[in-house]
Amino acid sequence: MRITTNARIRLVPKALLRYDPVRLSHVLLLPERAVLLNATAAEILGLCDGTRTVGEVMEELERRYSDPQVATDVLEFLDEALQKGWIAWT
Amino acid sequence: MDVEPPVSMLAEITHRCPLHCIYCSNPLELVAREGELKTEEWLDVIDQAAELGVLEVHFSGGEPLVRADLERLVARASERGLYTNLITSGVGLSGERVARLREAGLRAVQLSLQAADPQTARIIAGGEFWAQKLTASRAVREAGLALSLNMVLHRHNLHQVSDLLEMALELGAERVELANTQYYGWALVNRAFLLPTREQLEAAEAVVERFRTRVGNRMEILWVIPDYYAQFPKPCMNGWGRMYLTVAPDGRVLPCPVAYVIPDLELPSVRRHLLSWIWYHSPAFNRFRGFGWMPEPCRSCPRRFEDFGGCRCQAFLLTGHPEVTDPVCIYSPHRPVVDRAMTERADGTGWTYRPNPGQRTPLLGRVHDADRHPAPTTR
Repeated sequence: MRITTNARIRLVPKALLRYDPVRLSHVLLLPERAVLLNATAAEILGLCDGTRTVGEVMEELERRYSDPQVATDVLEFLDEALQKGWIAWT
Repeated sequence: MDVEPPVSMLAEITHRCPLHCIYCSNPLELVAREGELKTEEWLDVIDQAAELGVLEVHFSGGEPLVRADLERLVARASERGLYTNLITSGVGLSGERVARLREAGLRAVQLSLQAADPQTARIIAGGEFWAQKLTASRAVREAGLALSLNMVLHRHNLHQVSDLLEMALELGAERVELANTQYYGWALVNRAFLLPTREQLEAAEAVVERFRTRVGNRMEILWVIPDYYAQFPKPCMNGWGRMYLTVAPDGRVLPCPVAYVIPDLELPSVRRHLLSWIWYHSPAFNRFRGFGWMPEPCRSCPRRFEDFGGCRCQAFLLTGHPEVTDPVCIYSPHRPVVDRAMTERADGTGWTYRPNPGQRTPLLGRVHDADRHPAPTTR
């Protein structure tokens, strides 16, 4: 299933997103997997809380970075996150 | 050398277990109950692990549910931001216990299955646990925790891969781990009874492929081939002292869960040292770290960055030398040892069941003498 901009998304319940003070990086923890995230990826996933649609997450990032190009990157990242099972539709 | 902090800790909180699986990778010298770390000691280990940079804790054993303080340990790990996973036989995992563990912060459960039908499962585990496993799997799903079903594969259950995958789908597992037996501990003792044929493996692999195509990403399927059948060794632990550490029931800390077998490896203990010293400075963790220790053919092999020379414990078990190239590697001069082992097959069920700590003669070997079933053959 491909991602659509009007769907609400959230981090899957089994995932744990947090900052790791040892590695000075955000990490996404899943069963059998620990993913080191860059700051933007962590920011995007942090917005996937079930209250926002994909479109709203894109808008929010655009606003924060004042860069219209960012929306495409966000969509691409969220699509990948969905395929990998990090996020899901609410 | 640049040493990164550990990612993952395997906490083997006990060696006690109601099951007697013939493929168990626990050491032959099991730690008795009296030797186990106390609750306070485990809590301290968890605190130290979190400070060291460990991100996930796998509570395992033996059967971790036999310890009544499991909830406290999970709660502490969870409070410290660690991802918590329970690796269990499911025996003793009632709806109530799952609820308590979830309350404590448990996120995922890996449940072992020995076969896809109760009769075969009973023969492999040395007892009747089927119903309890089904109860456990439902309880895990009802609690909304991630469920992974793990089946260790060998000659007696490889033909059931298809049934197992159907069962996993029905039980709502998110992930299935089909791991062919690796020959350590009790599995090595029973190797002649467990080694599959190449035809069996290929048939099972084809089943897995077809199933993957059918279910897509609804269920993740991990297929681990037995390394005896591979050309190159597995990247054991992704490198010695690189990402993983195991804490044994008595507090010894191991770079690999089966590293007990290397006789001159002095295992450090949390009872005597801080975990950070153990990780960064102990001789055991530095012994095979990086690439400097490697002899030829590993030393100049481009594959060393992928497989790290394979498994030190297997190298020792099959050649008597822990530093040589893992003998499953086709470049190893010891490869004939593996090829020979693959021709040594024993029929019947005269294997040794894994006993409980303190039990010198495995009871179930005798119990089952009276009611032996013929070993299942390939379909």
